[in-house]
Amino acid sequence: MIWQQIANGIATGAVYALTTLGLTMVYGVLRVLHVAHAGIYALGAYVGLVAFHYLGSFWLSLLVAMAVCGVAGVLVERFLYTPLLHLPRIVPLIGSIGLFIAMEEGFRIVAGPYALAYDAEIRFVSLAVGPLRLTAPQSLILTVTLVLLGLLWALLSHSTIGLTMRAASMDAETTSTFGVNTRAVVTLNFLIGSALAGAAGVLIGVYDNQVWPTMGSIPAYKCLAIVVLGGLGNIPGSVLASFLIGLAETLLIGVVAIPFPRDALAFVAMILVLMFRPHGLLGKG
Amino acid sequence: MSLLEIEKLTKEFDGVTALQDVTFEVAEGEILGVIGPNGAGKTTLFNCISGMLLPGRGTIRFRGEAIQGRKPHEIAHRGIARTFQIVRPFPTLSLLDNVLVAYGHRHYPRLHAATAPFSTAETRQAVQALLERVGLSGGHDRPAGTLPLGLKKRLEIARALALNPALLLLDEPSGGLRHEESQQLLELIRRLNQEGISIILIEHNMPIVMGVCHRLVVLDHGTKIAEGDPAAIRKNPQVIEAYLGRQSVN
Amino acid sequence: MLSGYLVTVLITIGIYIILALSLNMITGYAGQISLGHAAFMGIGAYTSALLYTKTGLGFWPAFLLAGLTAGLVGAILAIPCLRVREDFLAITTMGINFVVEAVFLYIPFFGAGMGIGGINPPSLFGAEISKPGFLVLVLVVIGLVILADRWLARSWIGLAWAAIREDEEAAGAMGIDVVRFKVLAFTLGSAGAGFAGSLYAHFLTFIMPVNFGFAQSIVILSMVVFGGIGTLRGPIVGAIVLGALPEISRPAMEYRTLLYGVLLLLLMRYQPGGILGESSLLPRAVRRLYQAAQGKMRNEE
Repeated sequence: MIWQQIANGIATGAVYALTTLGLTMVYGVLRVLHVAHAGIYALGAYVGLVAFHYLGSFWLSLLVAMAVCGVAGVLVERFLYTPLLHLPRIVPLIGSIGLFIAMEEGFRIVAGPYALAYDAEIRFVSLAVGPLRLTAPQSLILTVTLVLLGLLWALLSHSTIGLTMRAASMDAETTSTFGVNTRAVVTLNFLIGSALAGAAGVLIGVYDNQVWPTMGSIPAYKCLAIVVLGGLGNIPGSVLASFLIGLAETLLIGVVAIPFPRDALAFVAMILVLMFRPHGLLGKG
Repeated sequence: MSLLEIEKLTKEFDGVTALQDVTFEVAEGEILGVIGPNGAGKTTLFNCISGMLLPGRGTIRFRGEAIQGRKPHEIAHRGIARTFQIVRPFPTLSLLDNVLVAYGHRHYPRLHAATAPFSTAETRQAVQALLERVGLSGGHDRPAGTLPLGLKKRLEIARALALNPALLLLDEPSGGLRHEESQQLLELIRRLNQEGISIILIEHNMPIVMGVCHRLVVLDHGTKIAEGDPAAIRKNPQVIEAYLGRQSVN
Repeated sequence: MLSGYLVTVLITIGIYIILALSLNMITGYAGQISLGHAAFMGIGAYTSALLYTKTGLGFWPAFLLAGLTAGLVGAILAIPCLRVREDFLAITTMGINFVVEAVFLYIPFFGAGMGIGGINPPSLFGAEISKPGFLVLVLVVIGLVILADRWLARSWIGLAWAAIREDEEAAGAMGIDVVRFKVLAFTLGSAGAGFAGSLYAHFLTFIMPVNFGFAQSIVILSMVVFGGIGTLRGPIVGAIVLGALPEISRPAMEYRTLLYGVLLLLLMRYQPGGILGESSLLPRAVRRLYQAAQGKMRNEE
């Protein structure tokens, strides 16, 4: 039983990781709380679904969704965030919330309020380590997540572009004085982060076999909590916190059966951690 | 007992030692200059004194009382006021309101007193006097953000004076000023000192330093390398070496 | 005479005005982003509802205690909020909103998902007051809130808040105990929300946790920002316009929420100062018209 829950937790955590990565990357360079990120997550699911119907292949639909979401993310950055860089942070935050609301409504108006089925048949291996067995869909999610994370890690630590991205997320101003095109770095962060969110949307859509307009609502805010928990702007922190919360949610609710809404758990954890570590689990001053 | 006693003050950031065992005193009524190449730790020193930073080790005594680690507002209440190297007036508030913020320091601690209106004829008069004192006459209702740099610097000093300080910390007040403005600043500093305010001055502008300071303390890479009167410091080989000709000590 | 429907709308707008003004104190004056204001509305509503239905306490004492409780909780919760950095504050307040809502939703004492019902309107001199009477009550409370607002804005407290908003560190160097004043802003703002919550509870006569969720916090915040954050007229106008919007846009019901989202987006993108903020289009246009009229009159003399 518990191993089943752990498997669930890992799958959940993996999806959270893909989603929160984008949030943390965006925050790192622009210091903006990108609530509309969850809209892009849902967009990924919808685009993936449409692509699947036309192309018939799950993997192709995943790629298309990632590409579309990447572009969408850049558009949001160009239209909303970069022009508002020098204003108080509350302005882009509310703009982002407005955009998110509009996107959800857009999905509802265009695709209808009911859940659509994303029934791509997953032919994948079922991973197992000792008593821990992941179902095929869960294995798929974990594998895709690890591959994408691995690619990102390789980019960040072994390429010049990655180096400039990391530098810019630590100190954008100083980095630009070194002649780095910080605008390009920002765009790249949004591109990659949004593509990852799109992937997360597809994976969840396939896993739950459901795509619906407000599927981004809970991730919108929960992922912010996870990102803060891990340390805003800290990529390893986000990944760690994502898996921790994914596991905590399924274990605490499924096994220990605490009568507490699982979605508030991330916030409770965040608040508790902030009390003792004001910069999050792995965040630095 | 000196006005301010700094003993073995040490501050580290993530492995970088900004201040190491810095020790010196400030006598009542003197103007002490703190000089040294960039990165010597001068502003860090001010930040420790004014409560914005918690020193790792060492003590800071003001009138005999240990103040290291106290919060900035507590230090302001004890009679130490400071200006900032990069001026930070409250941009959308008027000049009057900017100084009123500091003038109200006597009202903030008690909630009851704090509910009184802040802009009365009496308070405005007092604050206008302060603005005149630093040479800012007229235009008191303009937003402080619209002022040119030289006037912003004066506003900073006016704000600090509104705290009725016994000790004034001036962090590179002449930075960015033209020559005549620096001369006027020199005069202002002298006048304030004559009126009884002790001053610690961080400066790169050597004519000002030599012209107005009674004594100097020289910092380099976080340690004190020399202390004494300006004439002696000028000839000190260690000091000259520290500057490496970057700054003419003539 | 005003129709019953219109009175209901006015009362709703009135309650939102109180919510917007109280949030403006925290976010506009003191500059602390709060995304959880509805939580304190909820604390006030539930306090009032529970006191009324379970202890037989009348409306008036319940109303007062609702505000005081919300203010007290606001003060307590301000302390964790202030330990975190500015960016974290927004999310922490959001977190508080979710957690408080979860508490109402899951703990049976608060009626859980069913909420609390049977919260009767207040009585005056033995008789239950009518709807227009309730509107008068709401207007009186608004009047008191505006008086308090003006008084605070003109006091040293208001000046300290302004300094904190502009530059927290410099404010500290000027002798302002920044933490204390931030807690004060949270306390007073939350108390205001608590009073509004109590009015809300006794007006609707039943409350449910979902009324006080994060979405509601965003509604209130957008009212403050729409009108012009940090001013007195801004939140009032924002509450009136955005509060009336659902009713006005009823014909376009399908697209109401979409329009609302787009409105927020465009407003923040092009007029972040709100439609009545210091430097935004509307006041400038009005001023120019006024000046033009003045000039015209002078020419004609």
